Amino acid sequence: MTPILETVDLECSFWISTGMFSPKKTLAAVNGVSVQLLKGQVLGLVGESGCGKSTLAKMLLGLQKPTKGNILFDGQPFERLSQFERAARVQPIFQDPYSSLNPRKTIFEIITLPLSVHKVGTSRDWLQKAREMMDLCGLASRYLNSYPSQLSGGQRQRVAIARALVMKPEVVICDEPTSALDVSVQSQILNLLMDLKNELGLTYLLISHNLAVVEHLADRVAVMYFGEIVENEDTEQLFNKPNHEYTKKLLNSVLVPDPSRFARSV
Amino acid sequence: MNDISADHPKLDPDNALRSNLTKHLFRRISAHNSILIGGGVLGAIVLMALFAPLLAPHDPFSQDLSRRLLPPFWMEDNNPKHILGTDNLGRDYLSRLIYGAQISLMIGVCTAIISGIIGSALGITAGYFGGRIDAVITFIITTRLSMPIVLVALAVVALVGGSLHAVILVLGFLLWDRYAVVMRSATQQARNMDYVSAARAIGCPTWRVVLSEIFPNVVNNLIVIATFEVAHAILLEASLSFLGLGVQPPDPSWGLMIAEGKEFLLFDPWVITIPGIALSILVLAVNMLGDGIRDVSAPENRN
Amino acid sequence: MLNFTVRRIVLVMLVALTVSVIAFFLVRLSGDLATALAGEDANAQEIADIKKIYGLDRPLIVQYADWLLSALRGDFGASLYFPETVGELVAMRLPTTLLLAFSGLVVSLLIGIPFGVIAALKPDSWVDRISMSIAVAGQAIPTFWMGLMLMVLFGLILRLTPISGDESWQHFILPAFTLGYYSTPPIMRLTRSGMLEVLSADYIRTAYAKGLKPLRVLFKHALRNAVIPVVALASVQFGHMLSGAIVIESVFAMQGIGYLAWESILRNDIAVIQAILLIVCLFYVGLTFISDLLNAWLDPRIRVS
Ligand SMILES: Nc1ncnc2c1ncn2[C@@H]1O[C@H](COP(=O)(O)OP(=O)(O)OP(=O)(O)O)[C@@H](O)[C@H]1O
Ligand SMILES: [Mg+2]
Repeated sequence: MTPILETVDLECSFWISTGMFSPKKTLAAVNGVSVQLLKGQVLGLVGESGCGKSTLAKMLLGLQKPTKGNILFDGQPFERLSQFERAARVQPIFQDPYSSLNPRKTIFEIITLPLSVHKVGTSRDWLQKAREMMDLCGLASRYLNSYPSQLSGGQRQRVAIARALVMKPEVVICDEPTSALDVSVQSQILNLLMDLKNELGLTYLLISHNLAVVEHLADRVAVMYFGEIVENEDTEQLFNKPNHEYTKKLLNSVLVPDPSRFARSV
Repeated sequence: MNDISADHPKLDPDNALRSNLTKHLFRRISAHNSILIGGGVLGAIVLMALFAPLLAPHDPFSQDLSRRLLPPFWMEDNNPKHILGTDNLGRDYLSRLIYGAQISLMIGVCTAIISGIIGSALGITAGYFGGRIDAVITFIITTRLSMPIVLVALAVVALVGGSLHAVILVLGFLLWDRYAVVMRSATQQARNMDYVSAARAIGCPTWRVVLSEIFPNVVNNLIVIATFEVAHAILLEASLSFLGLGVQPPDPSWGLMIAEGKEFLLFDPWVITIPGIALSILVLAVNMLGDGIRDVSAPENRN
Repeated sequence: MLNFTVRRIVLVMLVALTVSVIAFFLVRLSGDLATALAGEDANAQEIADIKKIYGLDRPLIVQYADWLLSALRGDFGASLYFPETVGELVAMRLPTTLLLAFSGLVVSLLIGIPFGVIAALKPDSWVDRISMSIAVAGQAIPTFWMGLMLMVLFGLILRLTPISGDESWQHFILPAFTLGYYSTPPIMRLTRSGMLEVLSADYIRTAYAKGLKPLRVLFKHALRNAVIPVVALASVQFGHMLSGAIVIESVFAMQGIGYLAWESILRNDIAVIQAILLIVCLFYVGLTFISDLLNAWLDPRIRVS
């Protein structure tokens, strides 16, 4: 099975100037990363803060140019596609639904922005389509003309999901899709994501700090450490028999008893 | 972390809450008041300017040397036909004052629009693209800020010849700095929001990202600055006209009226008092409106 | 800090150079220097001769370089109306303007700082509100009109001050106040917010807790820390006053460079305008530089960005 999205030795480094006279230094946020997203599967991406997960996600979305290496979509070099073509196939869901929705636009405008940018259908179809997407994502269509500020965090994230899926992309990059949400809402959103995946045959890159979530949802897990992928295994394999020292540490840190969980079980 | 900080105000819940509320309320009310008063006065002046031909009792340009420097109504020997008296050429002062509002408002609004377009274009470009472009535009702003407006405006107006249009253009091309500075930082903030990334990931062309994602979120700054720049431009026009390098006679610019009245200062100080008060009231109204809008739309008062 | 300073100096040099280009070309575009020199009724031959003599037939870039290099040596050329060279003329007039701007600054600091402090000690009190309101209202009054009104009131009616001129220190009272009141609100506002911030800082509360006298705490700690930003602002305001002087000097007929600039603009005395524009701009640039350094010294975050 050929991967639907694949990176080959992908690298992204930033110039950071420390002063006018000291030479500029480069910081390799992503360093020689090769991962593969298999169609219909979920690839989990974990690693500590600042290790380069979001940078990798941005490159996959075409929001950040790689300094080296290749991204292949269906075996085709990604840069040969225009941002337009990429956009129809790869879409993001961001962490913070308070920042990912334009506060000046109605839910209808937000969800149909991709349609209007890509000039798909007429504005009448859009209304139909927006209703459909909201329904699919579990949002009442009476919110069509609401503004994001009138919605709760969970509802906003549903809007973001609707926007991401309206163009029927094949791959969705979820960068910590639930970490800004209330615990009670997190599972709802995750369930929604999984349902949509099965229904629409989507492929996910799921970035998360929550290892339990990744263990549950991902088919494979890649562990990132200082810009490099140190381990990339089937989920079960990885959680049962971690190879790399860093993975072990990461897993151990989660196994420290969590007082809140303890409290609940009492 | 969040829980701890959220707990803080609860240390003295009653008191803290009450004083906060009153303060908040007070600010709200005074902001609304200043919008009401400023907006009301400004509205009245705008109406006066619009309906000047209907309101003015006389032709503002018609001279009558036999009726020079008639005093206004509160002084002895006033002429009831000329409520605010006449100037040194016997022109009705009230009529000139009413028509003068047209000039001030026109200069204020046109200048604010021109400089607003220049400043926002520069500021948004710098803020959105960053890097070299930002460095260049920041340099332009810095350079502009190191040139004294009055001096440069005088020199340029002298260059192109004083007139209403010249003053509008010169001021419009000089007063964009505040827009640029504010729009730049507002754009820098907006650019980092995820909805901008989302739009770009959708394949939104840059111009559209800027126009429909960034601009609506920074535009409220524009309104506040615009009111202050209107006031600024009105004052500058008055100064330029006062110095003889702005609006030219016989147009009834308030600044020019003060300049023309200067030589009669000794015996007829009302000649300069009246247009000066008119100017101050107009500028104060615009400033109050701006202050009010700023306070109401300040982030702390939002939602 | 050193790094920041060096970077700033480079920037300031660049800005100064750009400003000199603008000063040169702006004024040169305004009129034909040769015609001005030769007189209105000169014929073509005379104008051509003048161009040769003064080097006006050379490319503008060369003329600019020539002008700038001479200006750096203090040679700004000749005035069309005054027997003195432009350099001498400016040197003669500059002290009056500097004195005026300086006394204007003193006035605005003398009003702005005490009221700012009082407002900060009792925020939202009536003193705070009223002083702020007056300050805001004051911003709406055109300076030249304010000057004329003061002149009428104190010079003509009360006969307390001279009306115009610059012969004695009494002559500076009204102009300094006129110039100063306009800069008062920003100084008052900054003092107020600076004091508010400092007063709520831990070390001040500690000082109070230690039982130090309130006034002593105020002057020793709070004011000192709130004052640096005010000094930074004051240096920028000083620049504004130099250019504000052009209006004030013409109102009060004071023979400073502002008045000189106005006269020269009215009669197209190009060399003088260029010189004054350049000098005032350079003052501006220098004063902004000082203010930036002060602010950066105070707030390390500025240095990084
Ligand atoms: N535009 C940029 N310029 C310079 N450095 C950057 C830029 N973007 C990211 N970095 C740096 O690259 C590194 C990786 O950042 P990234 O956002 O990818 O981390 P992350 O793994 O997503 O972290 P988190 O889990 O906190 O979201 C960080 O050290 C960050 O400071
Ligand atoms: Mg991240």
